[in-house]
Amino acid sequence: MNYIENIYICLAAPMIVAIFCLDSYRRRMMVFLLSGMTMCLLSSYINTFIAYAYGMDTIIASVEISPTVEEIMKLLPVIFYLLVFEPPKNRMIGNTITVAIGFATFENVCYLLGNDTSNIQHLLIRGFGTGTMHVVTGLVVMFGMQSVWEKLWLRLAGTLGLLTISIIFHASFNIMVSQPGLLANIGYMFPIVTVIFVLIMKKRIGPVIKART
Amino acid sequence: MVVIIESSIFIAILLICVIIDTLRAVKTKKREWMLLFLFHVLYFFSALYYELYFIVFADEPLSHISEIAWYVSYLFLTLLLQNIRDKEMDKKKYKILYIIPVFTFAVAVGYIIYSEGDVFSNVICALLMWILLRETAKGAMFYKEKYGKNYPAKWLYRSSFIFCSLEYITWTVSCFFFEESWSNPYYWCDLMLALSFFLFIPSVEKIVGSPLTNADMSSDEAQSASRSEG
Repeated sequence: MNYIENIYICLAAPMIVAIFCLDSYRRRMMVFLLSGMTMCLLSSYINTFIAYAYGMDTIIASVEISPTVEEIMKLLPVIFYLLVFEPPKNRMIGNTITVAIGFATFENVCYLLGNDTSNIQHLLIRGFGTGTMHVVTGLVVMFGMQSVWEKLWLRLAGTLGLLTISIIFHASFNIMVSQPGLLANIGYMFPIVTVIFVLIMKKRIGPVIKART
Repeated sequence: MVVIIESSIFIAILLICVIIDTLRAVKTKKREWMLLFLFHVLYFFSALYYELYFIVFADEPLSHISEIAWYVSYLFLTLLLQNIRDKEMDKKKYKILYIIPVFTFAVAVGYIIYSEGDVFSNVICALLMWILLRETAKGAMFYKEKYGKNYPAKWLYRSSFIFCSLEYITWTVSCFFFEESWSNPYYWCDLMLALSFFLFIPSVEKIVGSPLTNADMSSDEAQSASRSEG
């Protein structure tokens, strides 16, 4: 049995110390990294509770419950920062990525403790796959919150729709990686291919977003 | 096997639509392409999730993840139609539009009673279909009245109506035919539905650049363009 809260405390302690020592920019990044890890811990509690309440096994819970819970939880620190501190919009993408990285890092640490760590090839694919998936889903939602749509009702509906895209993207990824062999490898490559595609597209639409922010 | 082949064709068609929408959205930077992309991509991912779940667990998903994605895709199609809405349209009242909620909710009750469908999802679906069909019918009637037979966005409204009709036909057929063979009309209706996604691409192509649509993803660019035109 893994005591993930103990692991969390161990990982969070140096970060908490660092938060008090760093300048404002680096402090903010560290806070978002820690928030991502905290949200991952809370998500695992909520997932376990819902799975237990509905009598689901781990695999079914990972493809039916976790995507929704994790994507909503991952969004909470960013929404809090956006609503309370009203930062400039150009900061939001970096903050979202940092939360996603914190989330993916803590998830990978928990995975490593519960699974075999001898196969470096598998871990390399998993590390890149999961990390990229969390970054992609975070960015998808943030794209909706950016001022791509200038009307409030369009932005709200757009953000809700993009959150749904991230949830279903995450759920499809989880189904594929829950199976061994080829399907899992396709699943891990799925977000990596997506992010490469997004980076190519960013070169074209990047100036438009920059102009808006 | 029939289910897997049919679903794979369905997903492949949607993937082609998503790729075309992406390329057009990036090239033109128009909001209409972005909304169509979101409509197609949500439908694509929900179909993919459903198919993967069916292949891996040999069962239907317990949660409503794919259904929610389908419903949000209707929302984006409604937003696409809202985007080309004329301000005068709000003042117009068409009594015939009251038939739409009667139809959508009556059919939903039928699905709940006859095929023991989930109450919550059927009600949500009826509500969203009401909004979508209302937007489609009202827009088509308003523009036809204003501009005559060859009104703008005619094909977009027609595509939306064909899509909604095929959705209802597919759902109804699925209540009566259950066998897994190509003789089941459900699979053919589903393939027709998949083909109807293609209709939106030339329809949006026609409205982009027309006087109905002048907003793009960057309003700054639109403003600077209008200034330079002026």
